[in-house]
Amino acid sequence: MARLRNKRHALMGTLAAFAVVVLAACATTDATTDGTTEAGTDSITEETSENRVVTVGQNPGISQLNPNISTLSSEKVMWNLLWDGLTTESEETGVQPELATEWTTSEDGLTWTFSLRDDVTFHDGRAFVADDVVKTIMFVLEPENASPQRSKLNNVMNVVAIDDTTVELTLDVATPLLPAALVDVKIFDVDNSDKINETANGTGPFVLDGFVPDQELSVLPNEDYWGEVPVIDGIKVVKYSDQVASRAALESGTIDIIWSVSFDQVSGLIDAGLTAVVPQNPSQASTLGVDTGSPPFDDPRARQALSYAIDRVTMQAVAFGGLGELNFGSTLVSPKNEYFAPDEVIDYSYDLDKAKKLFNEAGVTEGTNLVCWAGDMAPQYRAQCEVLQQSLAKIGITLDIEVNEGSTWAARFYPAGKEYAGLIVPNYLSREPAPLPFVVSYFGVDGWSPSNWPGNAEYEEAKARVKSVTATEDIRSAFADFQRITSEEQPTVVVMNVAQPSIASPDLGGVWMEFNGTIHVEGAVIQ
Amino acid sequence: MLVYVLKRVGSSLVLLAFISILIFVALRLLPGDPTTFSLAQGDGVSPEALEKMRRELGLDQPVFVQYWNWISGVVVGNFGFSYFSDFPVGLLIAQRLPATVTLAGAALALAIVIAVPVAVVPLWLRSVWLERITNVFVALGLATPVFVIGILLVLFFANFLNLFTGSGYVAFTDDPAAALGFLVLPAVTLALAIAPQLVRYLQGSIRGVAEATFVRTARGKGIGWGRTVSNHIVPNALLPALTSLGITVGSLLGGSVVVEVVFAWPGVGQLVVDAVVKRDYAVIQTIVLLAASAFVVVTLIVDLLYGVLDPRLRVSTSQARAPRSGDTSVIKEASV
Repeated sequence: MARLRNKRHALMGTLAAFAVVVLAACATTDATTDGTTEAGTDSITEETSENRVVTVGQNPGISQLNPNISTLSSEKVMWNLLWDGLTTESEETGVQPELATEWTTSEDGLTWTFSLRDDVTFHDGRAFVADDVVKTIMFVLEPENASPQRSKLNNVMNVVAIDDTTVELTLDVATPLLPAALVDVKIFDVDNSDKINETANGTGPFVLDGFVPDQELSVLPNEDYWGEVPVIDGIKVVKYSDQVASRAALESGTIDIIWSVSFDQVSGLIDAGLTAVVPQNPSQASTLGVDTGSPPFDDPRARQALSYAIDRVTMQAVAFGGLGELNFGSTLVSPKNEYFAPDEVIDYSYDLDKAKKLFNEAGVTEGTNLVCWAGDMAPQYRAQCEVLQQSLAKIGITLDIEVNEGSTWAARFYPAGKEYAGLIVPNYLSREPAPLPFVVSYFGVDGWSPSNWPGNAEYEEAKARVKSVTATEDIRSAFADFQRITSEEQPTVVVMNVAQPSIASPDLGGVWMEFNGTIHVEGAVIQ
Repeated sequence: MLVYVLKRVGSSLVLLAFISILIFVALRLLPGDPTTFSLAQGDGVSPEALEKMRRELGLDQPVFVQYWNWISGVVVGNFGFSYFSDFPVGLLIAQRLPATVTLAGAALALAIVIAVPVAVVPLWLRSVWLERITNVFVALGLATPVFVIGILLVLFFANFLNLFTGSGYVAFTDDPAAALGFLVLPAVTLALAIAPQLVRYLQGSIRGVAEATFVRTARGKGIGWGRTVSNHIVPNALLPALTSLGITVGSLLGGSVVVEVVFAWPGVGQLVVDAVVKRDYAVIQTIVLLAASAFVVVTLIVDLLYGVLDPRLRVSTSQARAPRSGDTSVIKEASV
């Protein structure tokens, strides 16, 4: 009898377990296909016919919400959700007014007056006034705040509020493209910046719903937005550390878009019917960095030799899935850019004879050992090292490959000024495209490139012209000089220009990407 | 017993102090610091700004001062702040702990549900072939990385059959049914990763007990094999296997890190992975110390429980007192 009872218990237990699994399966199916399940604030995925929430999967996540100290490209996704700037970048028309309605400049180009909207409120209901602009710009200009936007505003000497809707900026050097420099300066509640991760008190089209650092950011439409109120019911940015997991989530509809997909996965995802989101005019560049302050790459011939030794065609196929535009001139101006000057740059097509000759002249002879210092953040770095290793081996140079996790990798050569003799560092740069002048500040005096290239008088003269000229021909001439000098000097070796794509569900519309990789999902719609 | 408990607690505290020093020093030996990730790669960031941040974070102080500042806070429950989000570390952990506890609890329960029958049934049926098949699957389970199990389950059950959700999380407090749906695949993955270990422990324990004299005695008295297994072998074999629970908790903690990454499960594992990448010292130190504490506490509880559950150990305690009383008969009986 006892045995029978035990068996009955066992059977009931089995049935109960089966019922739990079936219930779970049904619950999941309901949540994802029938759309009848509403998740609470801790949920990652919720999408019903009434509740259209766009979910962005990305790695890394968002660590903090202050756009003016943000250095991670992954954090840029929130910039245009929670915040507005005086100006903004539009997909169709480029730089255009946002919180500013118009601006005027003095004849000498040193004084800029911005008129501001008078119908804007912060998310907490407080009215936006000119003083907020002043405080934000002062915050950005304060060196100790380490704002990455400061480098674009370093000509700003003073900023004052003329009245509640007028701001005046005084510059020390005429800066024709100041409105472009202000796109990434997002106006925020400086007086309450210590609470920014809890409140995210901006003026943007979405308000903060929840934030778990490095895990999930969820925002809801700002019903009091001065502009067009978003049509969707919210956006979630969810961290997906694993590429395979994020791909599976996208294919199953759990997420709507993956930000920054590794290059080797792109073609497979497009073949699966998904959509690539890339900028029209990408300015990002794949580079090989060296320390120009230490042997052997303190000799420009060694840097030129390295550029000749790069089999860019193979590298593009192996490391970048065939995407992007090869940059044989090896400068930070893309060959597709209208200011590209093909006659001014050296053609660094793959040529091992030239590479060997130049290496020998620079004292890099057969038997020399170099190190390719790759980061493990993206597979293309190692692949680039492997292609280069094969090439250098043919001219008797041994290239050891060392792959490191992100901080170890970066600590070896960031920030500028560190010595890393003999290292070749695959990297990925997001610099603004010509005619925006900011790219020239990367090198030379006051530059922050870890290549440590100090520049020269000719370069500084070209840099000053790039920053100040206004006529198209003058800009073209100044950028031609920039390209000629950097192509000869090779402060950093440029392999190609390629945008890190995002991949979206075909049902998702209204998403686009700026030239520097900043993704705009604020206008997203689910079709 | 009290002396034993005090000794065990004392040695556990010394161990935790040693671990706290080890993790603190090891982190400082790694290349880079929090400023490397957050600032050094930014456009035009000045050395002064980097120095200011290091000063604010206390990284300019001698290491022993930094350690004292941290550990004296930990003792009173102040774990410090994340260098990146400025959130208190305690809050960051609290935000993620429910997810990790849910996952680990479900996986442990599931692993036990899987492991006990797998270890017992071949013995019960006295089937060599079933035992061999079991061993093959156990070896396969031990050899397969947990992320492979996870990805295979996602591809089959989420993408192919569309039966479960492949990734994500819903709190049980928000929607129990949906939460269960999200939990199934990660919990099964983690359970499949730790169940083979449990099976191995149980098998070893069962083999030892099955050869014991009291089992032969029971069989000699005419007790059927089924009753011998269920009433004599399994209960006695479960007890030694209990000691493996501490090791299993260690595997759970390690495995959950991987499972959380694969399933975008917002738990403590993902938090620590991020913190390591960014050198978010306060977060890493605290999580490692808390995980070690959990491990030590579980081991301690298991050891104490073992003493409570196993009458022989209680008798052994009497044994220590016996010579003073001059009565050795109890010892003889116990050893029989």
